[in-house]
Order: sequence, then C-alpha cells, then structure tokens
Amino acid sequence: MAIGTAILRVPKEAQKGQIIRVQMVITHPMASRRRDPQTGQEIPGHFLTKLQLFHNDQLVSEMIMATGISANPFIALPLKADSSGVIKIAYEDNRGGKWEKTAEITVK
Amino acid sequence: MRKILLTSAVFGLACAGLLGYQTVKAQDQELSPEQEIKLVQEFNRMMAEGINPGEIWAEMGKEAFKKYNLDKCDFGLGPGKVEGAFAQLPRYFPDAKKVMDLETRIGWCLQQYAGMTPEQVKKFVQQCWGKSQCMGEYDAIVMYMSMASNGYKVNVNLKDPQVKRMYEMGKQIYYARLGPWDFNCATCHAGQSEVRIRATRLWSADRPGEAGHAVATFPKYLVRWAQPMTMHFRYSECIRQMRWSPFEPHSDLAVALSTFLYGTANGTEIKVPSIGR
Repeated sequence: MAIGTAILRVPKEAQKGQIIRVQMVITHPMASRRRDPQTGQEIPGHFLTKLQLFHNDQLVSEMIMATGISANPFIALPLKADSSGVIKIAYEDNRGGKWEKTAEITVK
Repeated sequence: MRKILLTSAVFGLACAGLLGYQTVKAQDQELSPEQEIKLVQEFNRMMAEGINPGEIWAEMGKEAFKKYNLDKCDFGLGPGKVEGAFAQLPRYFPDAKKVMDLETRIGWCLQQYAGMTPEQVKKFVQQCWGKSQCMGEYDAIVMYMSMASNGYKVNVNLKDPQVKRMYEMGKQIYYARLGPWDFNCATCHAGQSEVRIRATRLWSADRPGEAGHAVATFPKYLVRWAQPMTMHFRYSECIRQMRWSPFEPHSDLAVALSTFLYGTANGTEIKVPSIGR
C-alpha cells in the first residue's frame, strides 16, 4: 500500500453533544533527517508535518507534527458531535504530498 | 471537557512514540507506583480499543490474495474459503500428502497456482525479514488470512494420526537441547516459575492458557520495526538466538513446532493482530 493511505474510524451513530473519538492510522515512514554511518551521505527526512480535522468543512483541530513520531502513527482526536455529516482529515508531509480521507457520521 | 482533551493529548503523544512524555509527567506530579501502573493499564486499554496499524496489511493482503490466485487454494474448508480457516490449521492435506500450517500451505499454493519455484517462494517469504517499514505482500496475505478468523477458537484436530505424529515431533523439538549453547525452547518458555528477559515476562507452555495467548495473537505488529511479524519469522528469530542451524521457512520443523503450539493452544479465541514493542 502506498505512502499516505489511511484507515479512518468513527462511530457510525452518536448522541447529540456526545464527545466521540476520531481514530486514524496513517501509512507513512516518518523518517528523520540523518547521515549514513558508512558513507556520510545525508539522507533527507520524510515525515508528516500537518494534520487537520474537519467536521462539515469546519476546521475543528489541527496537529503540527515532526520527526519523533513513530512510523504508521495511530492518532485519536476528540470531537463533539452536534450534527450529522462528513468528518474529513487532511494531512500533508514535508515533500509536498497532500491527502484526504472522509468518513460519515449520523447524529441522533 | 478539559480533562478529556488532556487525556487525549497524552494518549496521542504516547501512541505516537513519545513514551518519555508520560515519565516526565509522572516525575512532575510524583505519582505513586500504583498510579503509574494505572496509567500504563489505561494506555494498554486505549491501545486495544484503537486501530492496530497491522490492519493496513490486511487491506493490502486482500488484493494480493487475488493477485496470486490464492482463491483457488483449499485451506481445509473448500477452495477460496478463508473465514475460520486459520482456526483449524495445522491439518493433514491429502493433495499435498503432508501436514501443513497456514504459512506452509500458502507457500505450497503459491507454487501450485501462482507458478513460483521453491526458490522464488523462499525469496518472497523472506523479503521483509530483518528490515523495517517494509510493506511485504507475503506478510499482508498472512495478516489477511489470520484476521478473517478473528473470533473463532483454535481447533486443531489432534485425533488425526498424521497430526498427532507431527504434534509429538514438535514436542520433541521443543524440549530437545541442541546447538553450541545447549539451548531449547523450554529454557525460556516452559516451567511453572516465572522467566523474564529484562522487564518482559515470558509465556510458558506449561502454565495453562499462556501458550494460547501467545500464539493465537500472531501475526503481531511490532512498533520498533513498523511492520508485522509472522509466526515463521518468530521461529527464525528464536532459532537464531538459540544458535541452532539456520531456519528454513515452510520446513517440516516449523510445521512440527506449529502443530505442537497450536495443539497446546486449542480452545483459545483468535485475536489478530496484536501489538508489541
């Protein structure tokens, strides 16, 4: 599976005003910038820099990331569910990759 | 609300690999050992509820399963049937005239239906051994097949004479002291007394239920390598650490060990994937 694909999981149904957990796993090497011990060549870093959580196109939270976070990170963010609709995560890395993933939620 | 946010932040950071953060927090507030244990238990509980990164491999394995024509392969319940197949393996297969466990069967089917030679299969199996962040198709197929049996109970038919013979052979291998260091599997994984490697408490085949808990959770996602570890890779690593002669994947030795371990684990519910350090 290619870099940047994600599994996004939210509860299918929620009560109004309930605080749900938006869970995700993003496929990414999260490699830090370093030098090769044998040759001394610089190996450039490759890591996620920003993660945004949208609820019905409204920005809810934003996470600034850097190296020091494990490969294939599992992240859980809280969200207060007040209306049904689409939950979207948008994330980007330091090499210009940009991805999105959406999930739907029904609020009673 | 603030409390939930704080918990989530701690959780997010901890999961992201900054385990040190919790230590710092513990030092600041001077938590008692009981409170620290509670924090770790809370972390483990949240980790169990969350998404295991190993599930990425399961999605990938679904595609690879079709790509290598494995839907023609009979895993004991009929061609292409994967739900619950892992739970009743190892078993005797009349078409191969052999007892096979899951990974050996996949290797056999790759030769039959995907047109691979034994050397190609060996290369395919070992493509991710000793690496990190490797997205191997073999690991993906094993992960997909195992996750399809989640919720089933391990049910190896030990009344079958062929399986029983393999079980006895596996038991002998398990307790055979070999190699320059005179090691056997039972040095670490048997007996009633507790054996530890640093802080890790090792499971024992003699304590009831522990063998089941150990083998019914493989393949396991390892955070330090950022990739899953299959059962045959685990055998290979153990055998290398014991300084036995090099391990051949899909060999009779592996099948014998699998038959002994899964036979001992009969009745345990399969929970795949699990997570390790």
